[in-house]
Amino acid sequence: MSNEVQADKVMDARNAFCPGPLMELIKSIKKGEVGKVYEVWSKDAGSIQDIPKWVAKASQEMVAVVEENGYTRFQVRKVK
Amino acid sequence: MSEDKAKVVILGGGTGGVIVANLLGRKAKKQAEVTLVSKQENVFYEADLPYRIFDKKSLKSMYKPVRNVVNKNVEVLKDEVIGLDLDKNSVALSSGNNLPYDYLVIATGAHYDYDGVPGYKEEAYHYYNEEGINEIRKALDEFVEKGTGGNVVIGIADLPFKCPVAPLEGVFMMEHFLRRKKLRKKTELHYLSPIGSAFSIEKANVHIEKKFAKKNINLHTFFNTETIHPDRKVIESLEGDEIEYDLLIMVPPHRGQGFLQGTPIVDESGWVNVNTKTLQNETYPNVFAIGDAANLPVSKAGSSAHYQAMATAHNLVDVLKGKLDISQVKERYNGHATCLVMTSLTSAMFFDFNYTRPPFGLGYISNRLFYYFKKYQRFLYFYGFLSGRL
Repeated sequence: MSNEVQADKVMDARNAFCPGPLMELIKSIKKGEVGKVYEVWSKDAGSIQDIPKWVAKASQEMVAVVEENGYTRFQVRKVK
Repeated sequence: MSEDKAKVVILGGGTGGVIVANLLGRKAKKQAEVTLVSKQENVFYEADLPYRIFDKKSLKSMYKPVRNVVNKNVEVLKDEVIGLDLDKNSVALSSGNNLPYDYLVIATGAHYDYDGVPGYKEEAYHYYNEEGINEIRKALDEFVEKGTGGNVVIGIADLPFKCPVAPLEGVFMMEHFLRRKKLRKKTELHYLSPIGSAFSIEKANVHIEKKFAKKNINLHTFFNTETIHPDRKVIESLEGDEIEYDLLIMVPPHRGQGFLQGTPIVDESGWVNVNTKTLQNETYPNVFAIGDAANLPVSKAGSSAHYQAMATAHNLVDVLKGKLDISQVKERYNGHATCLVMTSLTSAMFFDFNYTRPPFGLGYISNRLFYYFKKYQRFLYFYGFLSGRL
């Protein structure tokens, strides 16, 4: 996905293991404002499945998934 | 006390703090003046708490005075920390004293923020301290006496929380308890998991979810509690789901201790930021954090606090003896944690894992032997683990 935007908050969870990156994202969305974009960085292979599944379940918007060298950046917009 | 000795201050008289104190008291008594500050009079063996809901035994055997389990070379202060001055290396205590330090170990655990989730205080029961146990016992007695069954919901109010297997143990033991009371057929059991599975370690989760299916426990994944509505007896999740309950048991929201809030070493929930392998704060290298107080990608649990305490104490002993510079402490912690997981009132599994290795295969076999280990582990805790010798 290449719809990347400037995130309002970035969480570097590359040191965290599953489900740490997802939890960082959930915490931010929970406390965050509607319309803002939250970006989490993960090295954990499980995040590739978990984060999009949670975003769909929670009816939030996946803005971009960007593969970097050895980790992935997930950008999610809080829509409700 | 000699002026030329280094001052080591340990905050917290729980598992991690006591183990660090004992190792330093024995191994660095010539090099360090060690002080342990504990708000509580007693160290508390928490691993038996889920069990105590059902067996109705006194909790007395789960406490021992901190002074009695800490090496005599360590000064124990019963006091409460109210502030930290990290630039001046000083701890402010509620008694009005300031405690200077050369090295600081923060092992102050978590506190329960009952106001952290709307409706929690009014509706939810928990088993994370003695007061919670007393209340849940009463509620369970009433549920049994009523005899009509209903919806029993076990979940987690917020993340992170200590002992990730505790709610699993709660639901498995509750299932067995309800069968014994002949209420199982009248009761729907629900388990609310904030993640996409019942447990975070994939290999272990396969075995746990098999048990859920076998025991007919309803698993609700991606359920992050948002609000509890006492008027409708409904829990609402961030994801938009709602579950009705007749009896609600929830792990309370956990936060770092109040004196840490606003200091430059914590994250927004009050957990101390440390290197995952040295347990050392990277801005203040003379400050270490272990156990529930630390912001680590590992279970907040007594066993992880135990291994983290051993790693920190050994690094500090080497520093105090001049074998290591504080800027080059060793990566001694590998994420090691162990859990004996109750899978009924009379059986348990055993998980031993670290940052990179999942639990061993044999541990997934639920059996009576692991249950006996769990039942009698308390003795090993008070007379072995806390000493730092095991």
